[in-house]
Amino acid sequence: MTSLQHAEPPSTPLDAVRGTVPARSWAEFEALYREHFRFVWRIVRRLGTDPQLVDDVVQDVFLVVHRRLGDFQGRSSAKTWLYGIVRRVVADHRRTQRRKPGLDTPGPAEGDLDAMTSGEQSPQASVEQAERVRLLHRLLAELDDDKREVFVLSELEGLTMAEIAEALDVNPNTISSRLRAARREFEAALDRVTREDDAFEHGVEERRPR
Amino acid sequence: MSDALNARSQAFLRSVQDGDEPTRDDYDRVRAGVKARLAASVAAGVAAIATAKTAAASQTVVTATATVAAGATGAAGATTAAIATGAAIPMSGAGAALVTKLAAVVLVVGAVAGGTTAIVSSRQATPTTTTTAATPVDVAPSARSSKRPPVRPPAIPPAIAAPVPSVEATTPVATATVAATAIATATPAPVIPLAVPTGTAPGTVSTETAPVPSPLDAEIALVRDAREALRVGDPTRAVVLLDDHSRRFSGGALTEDCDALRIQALCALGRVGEARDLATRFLASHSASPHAPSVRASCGGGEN
Repeated sequence: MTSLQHAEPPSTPLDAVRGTVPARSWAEFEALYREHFRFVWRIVRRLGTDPQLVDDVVQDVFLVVHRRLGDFQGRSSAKTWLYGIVRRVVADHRRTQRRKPGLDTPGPAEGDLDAMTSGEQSPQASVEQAERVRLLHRLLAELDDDKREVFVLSELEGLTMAEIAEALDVNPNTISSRLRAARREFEAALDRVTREDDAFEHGVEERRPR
Repeated sequence: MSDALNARSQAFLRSVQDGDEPTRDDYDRVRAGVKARLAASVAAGVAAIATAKTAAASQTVVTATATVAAGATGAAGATTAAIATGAAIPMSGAGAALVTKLAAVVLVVGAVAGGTTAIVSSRQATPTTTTTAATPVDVAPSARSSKRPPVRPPAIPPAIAAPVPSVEATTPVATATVAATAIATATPAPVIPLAVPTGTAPGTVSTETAPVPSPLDAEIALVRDAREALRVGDPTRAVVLLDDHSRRFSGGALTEDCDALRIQALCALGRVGEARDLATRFLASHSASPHAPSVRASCGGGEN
Protein backbone atom coordinates (compact mmCIF):
# COMPACT_ATOMS: atom_id res chain seq x y z
CA MET A 1 0.00 0.00 0.00
CA THR A 2 2.88 2.28 0.57
CA SER A 3 5.41 2.53 -2.14
CA LEU A 4 8.75 3.82 -1.14
CA GLN A 5 10.21 5.26 -4.18
CA HIS A 6 13.05 7.63 -4.10
CA ALA A 7 15.31 9.72 -1.97
CA GLU A 8 13.66 8.95 1.39
CA PRO A 9 14.34 5.34 2.14
CA PRO A 10 12.31 3.72 4.86
CA SER A 11 15.22 2.85 6.99
CA THR A 12 15.44 3.68 10.62
CA PRO A 13 18.08 2.42 12.97
CA LEU A 14 15.54 0.12 14.53
CA ASP A 15 14.63 -1.28 11.18
CA ALA A 16 18.23 -2.01 10.74
CA VAL A 17 18.68 -3.69 14.05
CA ARG A 18 15.74 -5.82 13.11
CA GLY A 19 17.37 -6.37 9.77
CA THR A 20 19.64 -8.98 11.22
CA VAL A 21 16.61 -11.13 12.02
CA PRO A 22 15.08 -13.00 9.14
CA ALA A 23 12.31 -10.85 7.78
CA ARG A 24 10.50 -14.07 7.02
CA SER A 25 9.86 -14.42 10.74
CA TRP A 26 8.01 -11.16 10.78
CA ALA A 27 5.97 -12.18 7.79
CA GLU A 28 5.12 -15.42 9.54
CA PHE A 29 4.11 -13.54 12.64
CA GLU A 30 1.87 -11.25 10.63
CA ALA A 31 0.30 -14.22 8.92
CA LEU A 32 -0.36 -15.94 12.22
CA TYR A 33 -1.86 -12.80 13.64
CA ARG A 34 -4.06 -12.22 10.66
CA GLU A 35 -5.28 -15.77 10.54
CA HIS A 36 -5.71 -16.53 14.20
CA PHE A 37 -6.39 -13.27 15.96
CA ARG A 38 -10.11 -14.01 16.12
CA PHE A 39 -9.53 -17.49 17.47
CA VAL A 40 -7.24 -16.18 20.18
CA TRP A 41 -9.60 -13.36 21.05
CA ARG A 42 -12.64 -15.63 21.32
CA ILE A 43 -10.81 -18.18 23.40
CA VAL A 44 -9.43 -15.56 25.73
CA ARG A 45 -12.96 -14.23 26.24
CA ARG A 46 -14.47 -17.63 26.75
CA LEU A 47 -11.92 -18.80 29.22
CA GLY A 48 -13.36 -16.16 31.49
CA THR A 49 -11.02 -13.21 31.07
CA ASP A 50 -12.33 -9.94 32.40
CA PRO A 51 -13.48 -8.03 29.31
CA GLN A 52 -11.40 -5.06 30.37
CA LEU A 53 -8.30 -7.21 30.29
CA VAL A 54 -8.90 -9.00 27.02
CA ASP A 55 -6.74 -6.54 25.09
CA ASP A 56 -3.83 -7.03 27.43
CA VAL A 57 -4.12 -10.78 27.47
CA VAL A 58 -4.35 -11.08 23.71
CA GLN A 59 -1.38 -8.75 23.33
CA ASP A 60 0.60 -10.87 25.72
CA VAL A 61 -0.33 -13.97 23.80
CA PHE A 62 1.00 -12.52 20.59
CA LEU A 63 4.15 -11.24 22.21
CA VAL A 64 4.84 -14.79 23.33
CA VAL A 65 3.95 -15.99 19.86
CA HIS A 66 6.47 -13.59 18.40
CA ARG A 67 9.15 -14.68 20.83
CA ARG A 68 8.54 -18.36 20.25
CA LEU A 69 7.98 -18.30 16.53
CA GLY A 70 10.84 -20.70 16.09
CA ASP A 71 9.01 -23.32 18.15
CA PHE A 72 6.08 -23.19 15.83
CA GLN A 73 7.92 -23.95 12.65
CA GLY A 74 7.26 -27.47 11.53
CA ARG A 75 4.22 -27.98 13.67
CA SER A 76 1.12 -29.10 11.92
CA SER A 77 -1.53 -27.09 13.68
CA ALA A 78 -1.24 -23.44 14.54
CA LYS A 79 -4.36 -23.60 16.67
CA THR A 80 -3.10 -26.28 19.01
CA TRP A 81 0.21 -24.46 19.38
CA LEU A 82 -1.52 -21.14 19.95
CA TYR A 83 -3.88 -22.61 22.45
CA GLY A 84 -0.97 -23.87 24.51
CA ILE A 85 0.22 -20.27 24.75
CA VAL A 86 -3.22 -18.83 25.36
CA ARG A 87 -3.99 -21.03 28.33
CA ARG A 88 -0.71 -20.19 30.04
CA VAL A 89 -1.10 -16.47 29.51
CA VAL A 90 -4.70 -16.56 30.69
CA ALA A 91 -3.67 -18.50 33.78
CA ASP A 92 -0.90 -16.01 34.50
CA HIS A 93 -3.29 -13.11 34.21
CA ARG A 94 -5.77 -14.80 36.44
CA ARG A 95 -3.13 -15.27 39.11
CA THR A 96 -2.10 -11.63 38.84
CA GLN A 97 -5.68 -10.48 38.90
CA ARG A 98 -6.37 -12.36 42.09
CA ARG A 99 -3.68 -10.33 43.75
CA LYS A 100 -5.40 -7.13 42.70
CA PRO A 101 -8.72 -6.96 44.51
CA GLY A 102 -9.77 -3.84 42.66
CA LEU A 103 -9.98 -5.71 39.39
CA ASP A 104 -12.15 -8.47 40.72
CA THR A 105 -15.28 -7.57 38.89
CA PRO A 106 -17.47 -10.63 38.79
CA GLY A 107 -19.34 -11.37 35.63
CA PRO A 108 -18.46 -10.15 32.19
CA ALA A 109 -19.33 -6.65 31.13
CA GLU A 110 -20.91 -6.13 27.78
CA GLY A 111 -19.11 -3.13 26.39
CA ASP A 112 -17.54 -4.77 23.41
CA LEU A 113 -20.58 -6.91 22.78
CA ASP A 114 -22.54 -3.78 22.14
CA ALA A 115 -19.94 -2.57 19.72
CA MET A 116 -19.86 -5.92 18.04
CA THR A 117 -23.54 -6.28 17.42
CA SER A 118 -24.42 -2.70 16.66
CA GLY A 119 -25.25 -1.98 13.10
CA GLU A 120 -26.23 -5.51 12.32
CA GLN A 121 -29.30 -5.94 14.45
CA SER A 122 -32.08 -3.92 15.93
CA PRO A 123 -31.29 -2.50 19.35
CA GLN A 124 -33.65 -5.00 20.92
CA ALA A 125 -32.07 -7.96 19.15
CA SER A 126 -28.68 -6.61 20.02
CA VAL A 127 -29.53 -6.46 23.69
CA GLU A 128 -30.95 -9.96 23.59
CA GLN A 129 -27.87 -11.26 21.89
CA ALA A 130 -25.66 -9.56 24.46
CA GLU A 131 -27.77 -11.17 27.13
CA ARG A 132 -27.32 -14.60 25.59
CA VAL A 133 -23.58 -14.15 25.32
CA ARG A 134 -23.46 -13.10 28.93
CA LEU A 135 -25.35 -16.22 29.83
CA LEU A 136 -22.88 -18.31 27.88
CA HIS A 137 -20.03 -16.81 29.86
CA ARG A 138 -21.87 -17.44 33.07
CA LEU A 139 -22.42 -21.06 32.17
CA LEU A 140 -18.83 -21.52 31.10
CA ALA A 141 -17.70 -19.98 34.36
CA GLU A 142 -19.49 -22.73 36.22
CA LEU A 143 -17.31 -25.38 34.66
CA ASP A 144 -13.95 -26.05 36.20
CA ASP A 145 -10.90 -25.02 34.19
CA ASP A 146 -10.22 -28.45 32.72
CA LYS A 147 -13.76 -29.01 31.56
CA ARG A 148 -14.23 -25.45 30.36
CA GLU A 149 -11.31 -25.49 27.97
CA VAL A 150 -12.24 -28.83 26.50
CA PHE A 151 -15.83 -27.74 26.11
CA VAL A 152 -14.89 -24.44 24.46
CA LEU A 153 -12.39 -26.00 22.10
CA SER A 154 -14.74 -28.75 21.05
CA GLU A 155 -18.22 -27.25 21.09
CA LEU A 156 -17.44 -23.67 20.17
CA GLU A 157 -14.22 -23.90 18.21
CA GLY A 158 -14.81 -27.25 16.58
CA LEU A 159 -11.44 -28.78 17.33
CA THR A 160 -11.23 -32.57 17.16
CA MET A 161 -10.41 -34.78 20.12
CA ALA A 162 -6.98 -35.40 18.64
CA GLU A 163 -6.31 -31.68 18.28
CA ILE A 164 -7.42 -30.94 21.81
CA ALA A 165 -5.33 -33.78 23.13
CA GLU A 166 -2.35 -32.34 21.31
CA ALA A 167 -3.03 -28.80 22.47
CA LEU A 168 -3.28 -29.86 26.10
CA ASP A 169 -0.74 -32.62 25.87
CA VAL A 170 -3.23 -34.93 27.49
CA ASN A 171 -4.36 -38.43 26.59
CA PRO A 172 -7.33 -38.37 24.15
CA ASN A 173 -9.32 -40.67 26.41
CA THR A 174 -8.99 -38.19 29.19
CA ILE A 175 -10.16 -35.45 26.85
CA SER A 176 -13.20 -37.50 25.87
CA SER A 177 -14.25 -38.12 29.42
CA ARG A 178 -13.72 -34.48 30.35
CA LEU A 179 -15.81 -33.39 27.41
CA ARG A 180 -18.56 -35.80 28.31
CA ALA A 181 -18.66 -34.53 31.85
CA ALA A 182 -18.51 -30.92 30.67
CA ARG A 183 -21.48 -31.46 28.36
CA ARG A 184 -23.61 -32.94 31.11
CA GLU A 185 -22.74 -30.08 33.46
CA PHE A 186 -23.40 -27.49 30.81
CA GLU A 187 -26.79 -28.99 29.94
CA ALA A 188 -27.78 -29.11 33.57
CA ALA A 189 -26.65 -25.56 34.16
CA LEU A 190 -28.50 -24.29 31.12
CA ASP A 191 -31.67 -26.05 32.21
CA ARG A 192 -31.38 -24.69 35.69
CA VAL A 193 -30.63 -21.14 34.61
CA THR A 194 -33.41 -21.00 32.09
CA ARG A 195 -35.84 -22.39 34.62
CA GLU A 196 -34.76 -19.75 37.09
CA ASP A 197 -34.75 -16.99 34.61
CA ASP A 198 -35.87 -17.33 31.03
CA ALA A 199 -34.62 -13.93 29.99
CA PHE A 200 -32.42 -15.45 27.37
CA GLU A 201 -35.52 -16.55 25.49
CA HIS A 202 -37.98 -13.84 26.30
CA GLY A 203 -36.28 -10.63 26.94
CA VAL A 204 -33.97 -8.54 28.88
CA GLU A 205 -35.21 -8.57 32.42
CA GLU A 206 -32.71 -7.62 34.99
CA ARG A 207 -30.85 -10.71 36.01
CA ARG A 208 -30.65 -11.39 39.69
CA PRO A 209 -27.47 -12.72 41.15
CA ARG A 210 -27.72 -16.40 41.73
CA MET B 1 -24.13 -40.38 19.71
CA SER B 2 -25.51 -40.42 23.19
CA ASP B 3 -22.51 -38.51 24.47
CA ALA B 4 -23.36 -35.53 22.34
CA LEU B 5 -24.67 -32.29 23.71
CA ASN B 6 -28.46 -32.20 23.91
CA ALA B 7 -30.44 -30.32 21.30
CA ARG B 8 -31.35 -27.48 23.59
CA SER B 9 -27.75 -26.78 24.47
CA GLN B 10 -26.69 -27.10 20.87
CA ALA B 11 -29.31 -24.59 19.81
CA PHE B 12 -28.15 -22.23 22.50
CA LEU B 13 -24.52 -22.55 21.48
CA ARG B 14 -25.43 -21.92 17.87
CA SER B 15 -27.15 -18.72 18.90
CA VAL B 16 -24.04 -17.44 20.64
CA GLN B 17 -21.48 -18.90 18.28
CA ASP B 18 -20.50 -15.49 16.98
CA GLY B 19 -21.00 -13.73 20.27
CA ASP B 20 -17.36 -13.27 21.12
CA GLU B 21 -16.07 -12.17 17.76
CA PRO B 22 -13.68 -9.25 17.91
CA THR B 23 -14.38 -6.13 15.94
CA ARG B 24 -12.09 -4.64 13.37
CA ASP B 25 -11.14 -2.05 15.95
CA ASP B 26 -10.16 -4.80 18.35
CA TYR B 27 -7.96 -6.30 15.67
CA ASP B 28 -6.23 -3.02 14.89
CA ARG B 29 -5.93 -1.88 18.46
CA VAL B 30 -4.33 -5.07 19.71
CA ARG B 31 -2.05 -5.21 16.71
CA ALA B 32 -0.84 -1.69 17.35
CA GLY B 33 -0.27 -2.58 20.98
CA VAL B 34 1.77 -5.64 20.11
CA LYS B 35 3.88 -3.69 17.68
CA ALA B 36 4.47 -0.89 20.14
CA ARG B 37 5.61 -3.34 22.75
CA LEU B 38 7.85 -5.16 20.33
CA ALA B 39 9.38 -1.88 19.22
CA ALA B 40 9.83 -0.95 22.84
CA SER B 41 11.68 -4.13 23.59
CA VAL B 42 13.97 -3.51 20.66
CA ALA B 43 14.62 0.02 21.81
CA ALA B 44 15.56 -1.29 25.20
CA GLY B 45 17.70 -3.87 23.47
CA VAL B 46 19.52 -1.15 21.58
CA ALA B 47 20.28 0.59 24.84
CA ALA B 48 21.37 -2.67 26.37
CA ILE B 49 23.73 -3.46 23.55
CA ALA B 50 25.15 0.01 23.47
CA THR B 51 25.85 0.09 27.13
CA ALA B 52 27.03 -3.45 27.45
CA LYS B 53 29.60 -3.01 24.72
CA THR B 54 30.97 0.17 26.16
CA ALA B 55 30.95 -1.19 29.63
CA ALA B 56 32.81 -4.30 28.73
CA ALA B 57 35.45 -2.34 26.92
CA SER B 58 36.17 0.39 29.33
CA GLN B 59 34.57 -0.43 32.64
CA THR B 60 33.15 3.01 32.81
CA VAL B 61 29.97 4.28 34.24
CA VAL B 62 27.65 4.61 31.39
CA THR B 63 24.38 6.27 31.00
CA ALA B 64 22.88 5.52 27.70
CA THR B 65 19.66 6.83 26.50
CA ALA B 66 17.77 5.63 23.59
CA THR B 67 15.02 7.81 22.47
CA VAL B 68 12.22 6.31 20.60
CA ALA B 69 10.13 8.81 18.87
CA ALA B 70 7.21 7.73 16.91
CA GLY B 71 4.79 9.75 14.98
CA ALA B 72 1.22 8.77 14.90
CA THR B 73 -0.86 9.90 12.05
CA GLY B 74 -4.42 9.03 12.64
CA ALA B 75 -7.56 10.43 11.22
CA ALA B 76 -7.21 13.30 13.61
CA GLY B 77 -3.56 13.72 12.91
CA ALA B 78 -2.69 12.97 16.46
CA THR B 79 0.89 12.49 17.23
CA THR B 80 2.43 10.52 19.92
CA ALA B 81 5.91 10.03 21.07
CA ALA B 82 7.72 7.57 23.10
CA ILE B 83 10.82 7.67 25.07
CA ALA B 84 12.83 4.70 25.90
CA THR B 85 15.32 5.38 28.52
CA GLY B 86 17.81 2.86 29.49
CA ALA B 87 20.24 3.57 32.24
CA ALA B 88 23.00 1.14 32.63
CA ILE B 89 25.45 1.22 35.44
CA PRO B 90 28.15 -1.35 35.03
CA MET B 91 30.34 -1.67 38.05
CA SER B 92 33.68 -3.27 38.23
CA GLY B 93 33.94 -5.46 41.25
CA ALA B 94 37.04 -6.91 42.87
CA GLY B 95 37.69 -8.99 39.81
CA ALA B 96 36.62 -8.58 36.29
CA ALA B 97 32.97 -9.08 37.00
CA LEU B 98 30.68 -6.50 35.58
CA VAL B 99 27.20 -6.09 36.73
CA THR B 100 24.97 -4.36 34.33
CA LYS B 101 21.59 -3.27 35.30
CA LEU B 102 19.36 -2.02 32.68
CA ALA B 103 16.12 -0.42 33.44
CA ALA B 104 14.12 0.76 30.56
CA VAL B 105 10.79 2.33 30.57
CA VAL B 106 9.31 2.63 27.25
CA LEU B 107 6.26 4.59 26.61
CA VAL B 108 3.82 4.48 23.86
CA VAL B 109 5.02 4.15 20.38
CA GLY B 110 2.54 5.69 18.12
CA ALA B 111 0.90 4.51 15.06
CA VAL B 112 1.29 5.64 11.55
CA ALA B 113 -1.52 4.86 9.24
CA GLY B 114 -0.32 3.66 5.93
CA GLY B 115 3.27 4.02 6.89
CA THR B 116 5.99 1.59 6.43
CA THR B 117 6.16 -1.34 8.68
CA ALA B 118 8.63 -1.23 11.45
CA ILE B 119 9.82 -4.69 11.96
CA VAL B 120 11.31 -5.50 15.22
CA SER B 121 13.21 -8.29 16.66
CA SER B 122 12.66 -10.60 19.51
CA ARG B 123 16.31 -11.39 19.33
CA GLN B 124 17.19 -8.37 21.38
CA ALA B 125 17.49 -9.19 25.00
CA THR B 126 15.61 -6.90 27.30
CA PRO B 127 16.77 -7.36 30.84
CA THR B 128 14.13 -5.21 32.43
CA THR B 129 11.45 -3.63 30.42
CA THR B 130 8.32 -2.03 31.58
CA THR B 131 5.99 -1.22 28.83
CA THR B 132 2.99 0.94 28.78
CA ALA B 133 1.16 0.49 25.59
CA ALA B 134 -2.54 0.80 26.08
CA THR B 135 -2.88 3.43 28.70
CA PRO B 136 -2.54 7.17 28.72
CA VAL B 137 1.02 8.07 29.15
CA ASP B 138 3.02 10.49 31.09
CA VAL B 139 6.70 10.66 31.36
CA ALA B 140 7.64 10.84 34.95
CA PRO B 141 11.11 11.22 36.34
CA SER B 142 10.80 7.60 37.29
CA ALA B 143 11.06 6.77 33.62
CA ARG B 144 14.67 6.41 34.37
CA SER B 145 15.76 4.14 37.07
CA SER B 146 18.95 2.55 38.09
CA LYS B 147 20.68 1.16 41.11
CA ARG B 148 22.43 4.40 41.67
CA PRO B 149 21.83 7.91 40.46
CA PRO B 150 23.16 8.73 37.03
CA VAL B 151 26.43 10.53 36.87
CA ARG B 152 24.81 13.45 35.18
CA PRO B 153 21.13 13.99 34.97
CA PRO B 154 20.24 13.43 31.36
CA ALA B 155 18.47 16.29 29.76
CA ILE B 156 15.42 14.71 28.31
CA PRO B 157 13.38 17.40 26.67
CA PRO B 158 10.02 17.29 28.40
CA ALA B 159 8.40 18.44 25.23
CA ILE B 160 8.89 15.00 23.78
CA ALA B 161 6.48 13.59 26.23
CA ALA B 162 3.91 16.29 26.24
CA PRO B 163 1.34 15.59 23.56
CA VAL B 164 0.83 11.94 24.17
CA PRO B 165 -2.62 10.57 23.71
CA SER B 166 -3.40 7.02 24.59
CA VAL B 167 -3.06 4.28 22.05
CA GLU B 168 -6.82 4.18 21.94
CA ALA B 169 -6.85 7.76 20.83
CA THR B 170 -4.46 7.15 18.01
CA THR B 171 -5.76 3.94 16.59
CA PRO B 172 -9.19 4.75 15.25
CA VAL B 173 -7.90 5.71 11.87
CA ALA B 174 -9.98 6.23 8.85
CA THR B 175 -8.68 3.34 6.85
CA ALA B 176 -10.14 -0.04 7.47
CA THR B 177 -7.10 -1.80 6.24
CA VAL B 178 -4.15 -2.57 8.37
CA ALA B 179 -4.35 0.57 10.33
CA ALA B 180 -1.67 1.17 12.75
CA THR B 181 1.94 0.65 12.19
CA ALA B 182 4.52 1.69 14.59
CA ILE B 183 7.66 3.29 13.44
CA ALA B 184 10.31 3.59 15.98
CA THR B 185 13.51 5.44 15.64
CA ALA B 186 16.26 5.12 18.10
CA THR B 187 18.55 8.03 18.09
CA PRO B 188 21.14 9.06 20.56
CA ALA B 189 20.13 12.37 22.01
CA PRO B 190 23.08 14.67 21.54
CA VAL B 191 22.49 16.57 24.74
CA ILE B 192 22.86 13.48 26.83
CA PRO B 193 26.25 12.33 27.94
CA LEU B 194 26.60 8.82 26.70
CA ALA B 195 29.54 7.71 28.67
CA VAL B 196 31.67 9.22 31.33
CA PRO B 197 34.95 7.52 32.04
CA THR B 198 35.54 7.34 35.73
CA GLY B 199 39.13 6.45 36.22
CA THR B 200 39.17 4.13 39.20
CA ALA B 201 36.13 4.28 41.37
CA PRO B 202 32.70 4.43 39.82
CA GLY B 203 31.84 7.40 41.96
CA THR B 204 34.75 9.46 40.72
CA VAL B 205 33.71 11.46 37.75
CA SER B 206 35.83 13.66 35.63
CA THR B 207 33.28 15.97 34.18
CA GLU B 208 35.77 17.41 31.73
CA THR B 209 36.37 14.15 29.94
CA ALA B 210 34.88 14.02 26.49
CA PRO B 211 31.97 11.65 26.19
CA VAL B 212 32.75 8.33 24.58
CA PRO B 213 29.80 7.24 22.50
CA SER B 214 29.13 3.55 22.31
CA PRO B 215 29.83 1.87 19.01
CA LEU B 216 26.19 1.40 18.23
CA ASP B 217 25.35 5.00 19.01
CA ALA B 218 28.13 6.12 16.73
CA GLU B 219 26.93 3.81 13.99
CA ILE B 220 23.38 5.06 14.34
CA ALA B 221 24.56 8.66 14.15
CA LEU B 222 26.60 7.96 11.07
CA VAL B 223 23.74 6.33 9.25
CA ARG B 224 21.42 9.11 10.26
CA ASP B 225 23.83 11.68 8.85
CA ALA B 226 24.12 9.74 5.62
CA ARG B 227 20.37 9.56 5.27
CA GLU B 228 20.08 13.25 5.98
CA ALA B 229 22.72 14.07 3.39
CA LEU B 230 20.75 12.08 0.85
CA ARG B 231 17.57 13.76 1.84
CA VAL B 232 18.95 17.26 1.38
CA GLY B 233 20.35 16.37 -2.01
CA ASP B 234 23.98 15.77 -1.18
CA PRO B 235 24.56 12.20 -2.33
CA THR B 236 28.32 12.76 -2.54
CA ARG B 237 28.48 13.40 1.16
CA ALA B 238 26.17 10.46 1.77
CA VAL B 239 28.59 8.17 -0.06
CA VAL B 240 31.53 9.54 1.91
CA LEU B 241 29.70 8.84 5.14
CA LEU B 242 28.70 5.39 3.99
CA ASP B 243 32.30 4.64 3.05
CA ASP B 244 33.23 5.75 6.52
CA HIS B 245 30.63 3.36 7.88
CA SER B 246 32.07 0.49 5.86
CA ARG B 247 35.53 1.18 7.25
CA ARG B 248 34.53 1.62 10.85
CA PHE B 249 31.61 -0.74 11.21
CA SER B 250 32.25 -3.58 8.85
CA GLY B 251 29.48 -6.06 9.48
CA GLY B 252 27.74 -3.59 11.79
CA ALA B 253 24.14 -3.76 12.83
CA LEU B 254 23.11 -1.20 10.24
CA THR B 255 24.92 -2.63 7.26
CA GLU B 256 21.72 -3.52 5.47
CA ASP B 257 20.43 0.03 5.87
CA CYS B 258 23.69 1.40 4.61
CA ASP B 259 23.60 -0.76 1.53
CA ALA B 260 20.10 0.44 0.76
CA LEU B 261 21.14 4.05 1.28
CA ARG B 262 24.19 3.60 -0.89
CA ILE B 263 22.06 2.33 -3.75
CA GLN B 264 19.92 5.45 -3.49
CA ALA B 265 23.00 7.65 -3.36
CA LEU B 266 24.64 5.99 -6.35
CA CYS B 267 21.46 6.44 -8.35
CA ALA B 268 21.35 10.10 -7.37
CA LEU B 269 24.93 10.44 -8.61
CA GLY B 270 24.11 8.72 -11.88
CA ARG B 271 26.41 5.81 -11.08
CA VAL B 272 23.82 3.40 -12.36
CA GLY B 273 26.15 0.49 -13.03
CA GLU B 274 27.42 0.43 -9.49
CA ALA B 275 23.94 0.89 -8.15
CA ARG B 276 22.74 -2.04 -10.21
CA ASP B 277 25.53 -4.31 -9.01
CA LEU B 278 24.87 -3.45 -5.43
CA ALA B 279 21.10 -3.73 -5.84
CA THR B 280 21.45 -7.16 -7.39
CA ARG B 281 23.53 -8.37 -4.49
CA PHE B 282 21.24 -6.69 -2.00
CA LEU B 283 18.11 -8.28 -3.37
CA ALA B 284 19.79 -11.66 -3.60
CA SER B 285 20.60 -11.67 0.07
CA HIS B 286 17.82 -9.50 1.51
CA SER B 287 14.83 -10.20 -0.67
CA ALA B 288 12.43 -9.82 2.24
CA SER B 289 14.07 -6.70 3.62
CA PRO B 290 11.82 -3.74 4.29
CA HIS B 291 14.23 -1.85 2.05
CA ALA B 292 13.74 -4.28 -0.81
CA PRO B 293 10.80 -2.37 -2.34
CA SER B 294 12.76 0.87 -2.48
CA VAL B 295 15.80 -0.92 -3.84
CA ARG B 296 13.69 -2.55 -6.53
CA ALA B 297 12.20 0.81 -7.38
CA SER B 298 15.60 2.46 -7.58
CA CYS B 299 17.69 2.89 -10.72
CA GLY B 300 19.53 -0.27 -9.80
CA GLY B 301 16.49 -2.40 -9.23
CA GLY B 302 15.55 -3.14 -12.78
CA GLU B 303 11.97 -1.97 -12.31
CA ASN B 304 12.45 1.13 -14.30
